Amino acid sequence: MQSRQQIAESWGWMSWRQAALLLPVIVISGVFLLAPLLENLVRSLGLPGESGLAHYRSFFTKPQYLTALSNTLAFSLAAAVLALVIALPACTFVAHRGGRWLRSFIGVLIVAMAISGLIRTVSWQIVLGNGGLLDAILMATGVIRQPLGLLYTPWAVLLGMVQIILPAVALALINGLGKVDRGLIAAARSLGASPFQVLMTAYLPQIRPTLMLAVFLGFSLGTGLFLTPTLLGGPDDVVLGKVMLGDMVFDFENGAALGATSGVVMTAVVGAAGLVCLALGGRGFRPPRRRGAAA
Amino acid sequence: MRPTDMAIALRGVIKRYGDFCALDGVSLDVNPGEFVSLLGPSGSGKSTILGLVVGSVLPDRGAVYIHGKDAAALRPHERNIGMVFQQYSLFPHLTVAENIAYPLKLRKWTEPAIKSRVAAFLDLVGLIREADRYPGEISGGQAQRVAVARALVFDPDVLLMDEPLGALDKRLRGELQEEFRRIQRETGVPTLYVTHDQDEAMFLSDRIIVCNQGRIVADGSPRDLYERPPGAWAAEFLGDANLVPVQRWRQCGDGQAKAETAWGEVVVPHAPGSTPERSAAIVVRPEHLLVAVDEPSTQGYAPARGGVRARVTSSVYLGGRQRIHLHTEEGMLLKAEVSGRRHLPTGGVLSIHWRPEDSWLVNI
Repeated sequence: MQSRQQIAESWGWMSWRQAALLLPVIVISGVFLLAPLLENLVRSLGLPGESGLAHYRSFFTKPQYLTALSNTLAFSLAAAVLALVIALPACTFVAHRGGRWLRSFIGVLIVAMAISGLIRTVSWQIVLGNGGLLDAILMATGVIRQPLGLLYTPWAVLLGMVQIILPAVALALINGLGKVDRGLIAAARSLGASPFQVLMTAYLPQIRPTLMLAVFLGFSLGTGLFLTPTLLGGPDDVVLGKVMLGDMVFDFENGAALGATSGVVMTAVVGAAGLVCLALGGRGFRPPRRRGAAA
Repeated sequence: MRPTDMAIALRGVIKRYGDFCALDGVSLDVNPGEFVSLLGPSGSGKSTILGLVVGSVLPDRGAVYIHGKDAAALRPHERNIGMVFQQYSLFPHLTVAENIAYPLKLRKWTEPAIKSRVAAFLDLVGLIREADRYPGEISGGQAQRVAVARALVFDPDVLLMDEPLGALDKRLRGELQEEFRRIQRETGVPTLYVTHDQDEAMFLSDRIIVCNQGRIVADGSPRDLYERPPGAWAAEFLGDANLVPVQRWRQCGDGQAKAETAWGEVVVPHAPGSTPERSAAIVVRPEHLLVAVDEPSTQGYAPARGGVRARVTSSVYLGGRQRIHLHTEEGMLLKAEVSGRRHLPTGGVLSIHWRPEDSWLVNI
């Protein structure tokens, strides 16, 4: 005889007592996440009596918004992919090595995350600035004759953003890469798979959901950064966050509604990106879902 | 035979990991069509031997031949070896049939050829009805059968099995042992089977190779190794054994030894290659110890001088058989296995003897 608890667990149900553990999270995310989002949506539709979509019309017709949006997306995507490429080799190594390597690596990542993004960004100003540390070193070693002038360019923005999102991307990667079943890799090899075939049939399918999760995490973090592009970028490297700030601070009449509109658009874009990443990630090595319960 | 005539041959292989010597000059053969078990405690080097054949371990010295070819020139995926792991290692996102088809797809077989081949191997392991299930939906025993089919489907030169029954319960183990033996006889693929379970090795193998501390300490048929073990360690590792200490001994021709024990002189067969210069013991299996309540005529038995007096210290009834522990007057502990029907109470004094041909002198 199975107890009710066992039956519930075997069906993936929770008892009320278990559900109660989730209550604080549900309340907090409801009050502090969903409610403001809804409020944003309502505000973006303007005051009663106004044409509901006026702010959206102005968002999608004014070049300042479109440029800011495309800048945000381009910077965030580039930074996320770059962070993934940089983090992947090291994360693969420590995740498989485990033990002390893994613990120290995670420790370093947490320290990196703990240092304020503002300080990390300002330190890039010092390194990249005209006659800054980088220029000084390169000129002293004779690699360059003129200062590079990297600060206030898109490259500086990219560098700064990568540095800020890298620890989060690396943590997401380590978590997933540590769960790779290496027995399957050994099995594939023993069954005659070449190194390339092992990669394509036994390794990549296992880590693809992790890779896409890490890219998505990096991307969505990137869309929220506005200090870094503002401090490191030039006048053309405006991102949506900065435009929103400007609207809200300087436009007393429509600022709140315009900011809310940008926020809704950004949320929608991030949501869409999430779905794309989910689709690209695939089901990994889980079997396809069955119609009806499995035996 | 030359190493090139063997399914697997190792010649003088040495492998070190830092200061630890995993293999210390190992040579072994697996003949075509043979089922060979590699038996030993953990850390004895058996996994390293498997790694050498698979190609995940490279020898420091010596050579490995697979199907006549020097394996040094072959990368792991070029070795054409089937491998079965303890953890099944089936691809969870592929069905049973797709798992078995995987090595054929790698070899670019045509779709119809794959289909009929997979069907034949599903039949071989008795899983036709499970063809479309996923590994998560079948039992451990069925999963291991799928793994065997997948390892054999592409006609490997040899099959390696690394403790394939380690994760299964006792009843299933017995069932699968029968299956493994049948499948191996049917396919004739030479098999190297790693285990630390001696009953399993006895049941399955044409030949057992026993490893200890990076060396091969015994190599022969299950009967040979049990009845005529080459040394004391092998005798105790493979089955239970009483080791009766020998003070001195000499060869008296025809493979017989005249040995001095605490209970007088006995004449018993000795292991070939054993020498009187090194200390020795007489191996007597517990089931070969004869116990008598009174002192019988011991004409033709060993020891000759009227048997050994011993007190029963414990007895365990096993159904049909019972296992008794005995303490001799000289302070030796003996184990005997006798019919379960006799009543042998703890504390009773028995007279112990054995037939000389059931014992075997070895160096320690």
